[in-house]
Amino acid sequence: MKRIILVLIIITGLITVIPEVYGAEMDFTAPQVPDSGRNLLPYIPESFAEGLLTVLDGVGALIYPAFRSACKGAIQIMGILLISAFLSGFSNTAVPVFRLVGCVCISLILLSTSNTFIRLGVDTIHELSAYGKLLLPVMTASLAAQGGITEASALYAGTAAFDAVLASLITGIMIPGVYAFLILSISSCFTEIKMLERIKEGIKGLITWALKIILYVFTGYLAITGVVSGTTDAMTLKAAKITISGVVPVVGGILSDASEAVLVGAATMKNAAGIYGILAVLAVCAGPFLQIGMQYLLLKITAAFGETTEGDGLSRLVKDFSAVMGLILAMTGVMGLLFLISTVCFMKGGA
Amino acid sequence: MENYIKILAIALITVILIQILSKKEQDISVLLSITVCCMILMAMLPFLDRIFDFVRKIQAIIHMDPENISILVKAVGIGLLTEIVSLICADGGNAALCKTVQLVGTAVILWLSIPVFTSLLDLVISVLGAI
Repeated sequence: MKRIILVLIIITGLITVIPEVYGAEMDFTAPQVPDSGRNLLPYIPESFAEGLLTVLDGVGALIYPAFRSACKGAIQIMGILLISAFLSGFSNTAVPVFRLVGCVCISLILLSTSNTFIRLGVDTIHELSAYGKLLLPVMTASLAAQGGITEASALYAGTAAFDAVLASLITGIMIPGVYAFLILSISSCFTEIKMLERIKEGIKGLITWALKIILYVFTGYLAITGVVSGTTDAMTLKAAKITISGVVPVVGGILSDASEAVLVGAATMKNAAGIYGILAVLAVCAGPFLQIGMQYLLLKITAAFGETTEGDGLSRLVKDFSAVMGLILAMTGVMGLLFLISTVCFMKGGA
Repeated sequence: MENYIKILAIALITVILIQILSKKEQDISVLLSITVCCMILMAMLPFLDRIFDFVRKIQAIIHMDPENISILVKAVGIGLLTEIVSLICADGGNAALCKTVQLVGTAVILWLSIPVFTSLLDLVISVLGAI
């Protein structure tokens, strides 16, 4: 009887002490989806498949209005390209005027749309960053509770650092760079100065290169920390279990088994939070990603149409606007991918 | 289409006539050239009318600013007239006048496009403001 009472006291103590030891709360629920993604994921799904279907369903409803508005803009630009191509045949003297008027009309149509999509992309990046700041501590605490203290801290530090660097780079350097790219595109459309063209291409190349490098370094960091800290944590946990079962007399083995049960519980909670976190990131990302992607594709098609009708003049401007959409798409995608990869690593981690 | 064939025929006959007249009556050959050019331009107007109707139709579909369309149409007219008049000047043997007419045409087209330049400048300033 004494032995049973002793075991019960130790188990109760273990349950209350473990979270304090790992410096975490036992509330491993993922934070609620931000307002922008809540209409895509209005409730907590029972499974990942169900959540994914709900998000996809919501995204499907967004496709038609996004496609319609993108089509309207594309038709307007096609009309301008057609008029410019039509009138250019009359007189060589007036060709610069056709190009200027076409350039202004296309810029007027696309600049406000592009500005809206750039703002949408930036807002999504900020929302993802803010959501990540809530999700990462939960995932870190649950992974730490499962025994992966080193791995959890390394993952948290890495993801938080990369998130901060990427968010500040995007808002501080890349977005002004995108606007500079647009101004240079509009200017080089009718001046045809090669230097402007080269500077413009340089800006685009720098942004693309920076995004690629950040993602490569982040995945490399995750791979290295995952292997090193995962092995360290596994060895520490194994040593702790052996010590408990060896040092504590009589109930050492039972205690070791009980700690195993607690770790399994923590893993279940961590996976549930992780799955909801992934779905939430998808819900925040999917809508803007689809809208920007739709605009990007239709501008590409319009530029191809322009090349066949008008030549290389105004269609190059349309191509540049589609490149801007591509850059915003890449920025949003990299930010979303950062949190998806790190959440998956948190879920995969632990001894 | 019938008018087009007539225009081509008139142009060819005029060229032959000018070749014959230019040896004895240089002045009359230049006058003939100017007159036939004007006639051909007048005959071309119905074709242009239909083309501009089509452009206006596209403009109505895409809701393009009517002011921009009027600038484009005026630029077409100025460009065409400048080219024809400068070529007549060149045929008359006056290269300086030909170059001056081209210069005037370019200047008028630039003057015509000042409102477009202004709106482009406003656009660039608005983008700079967004940064």
